[in-house]
Amino acid sequence: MTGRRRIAYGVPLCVDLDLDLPTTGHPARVVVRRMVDAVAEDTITWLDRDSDPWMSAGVVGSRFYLRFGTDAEFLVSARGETVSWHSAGGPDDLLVHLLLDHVLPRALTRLGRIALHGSCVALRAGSGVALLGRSGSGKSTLAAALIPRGGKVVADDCLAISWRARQPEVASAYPGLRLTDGSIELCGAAGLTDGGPVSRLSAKKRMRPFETDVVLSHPDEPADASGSGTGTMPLGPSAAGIALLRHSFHLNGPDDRASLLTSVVPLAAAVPVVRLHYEHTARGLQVALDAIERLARPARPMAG
Amino acid sequence: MQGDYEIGPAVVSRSVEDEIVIVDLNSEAYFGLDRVGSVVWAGLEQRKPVPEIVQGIVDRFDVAPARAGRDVERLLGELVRAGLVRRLAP
Repeated sequence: MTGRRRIAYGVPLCVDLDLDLPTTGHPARVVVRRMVDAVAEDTITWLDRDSDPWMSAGVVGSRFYLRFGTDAEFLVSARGETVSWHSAGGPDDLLVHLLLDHVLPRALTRLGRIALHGSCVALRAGSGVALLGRSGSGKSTLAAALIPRGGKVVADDCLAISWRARQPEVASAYPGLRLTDGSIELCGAAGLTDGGPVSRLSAKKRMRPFETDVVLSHPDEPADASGSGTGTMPLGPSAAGIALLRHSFHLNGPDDRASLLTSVVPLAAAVPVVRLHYEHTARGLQVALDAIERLARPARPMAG
Repeated sequence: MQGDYEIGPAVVSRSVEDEIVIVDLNSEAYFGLDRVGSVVWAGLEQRKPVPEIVQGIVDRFDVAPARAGRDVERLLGELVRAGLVRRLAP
């Protein structure tokens, strides 16, 4: 097996691409390699905000197929240990962005990880808050704005969660928050440096640096309803489970969706989940940050 | 035991604390049931007839049988309309 040893989302990779990721000496859990091409029939296509085709999915034998327009195709093996890529234009920033931010998170679910669409910030030593939400909802902005308040960014856009001693543990994703110029202006991006554009399909830039693994906690602490005036609302167990499911990365197919129910929903019983609304203004951001700090003692995930 | 209703074949559920999360694998829709609804759902899973499900509600919660009966019938109607369960022929 030839390739570079890198680590992302806490998972050692052997990858044939030049990825700006930390190196590791651990045996690879996932091999990422080029394939000649992938021919598959899409069974489902998701649209972007402009109703244009964004990502198509299907199945090739026992493997999962993902296609992003005419830019790139990927095959994920049934157990997630192999990710094959094909790009008509060859390796570029877009391929790396698709691999890191869209394909690997889905492959992680085949390795038994929970992969949630969101950011994670450590607010106390070893424990943190997860900020979940749709693209553009302000997760990364909140994460960046927590840095001047002592927060350490653990993951941006994907939380890879595994269970350790019955506590959900979030692995450090990879170096870099993704922020638009508007978000950078709004949150100030203190302590971050510009790592360049994400890809030609994104208006965001990669901003650094990053932190280490963190445990999401605290199951014994009661939900705090006092923040309701600031746009926060604790969710009950089933509502929390549904919110976590809605923000979960997954591949395609009923079996995959049924297994999500088993893997993700127990998280709703392990950590308090709070819905947070905030205006994307300087004032709204400050109110949201105050609410997070009040609620996250020591840590809670947010669904928004 | 022969129940009055049957949970759909593409419907899966998972309890979380004293509530239930339900997924319809065909429509990819999610549903949640509170602690009372969870008792009804458990009764459906065990193929209990409706009167037995109602009695289970009365036994566990401080509610009159008539009120429990109306609430269970209303919930069953909502579950049918959502395509999660179907009424069996008598």
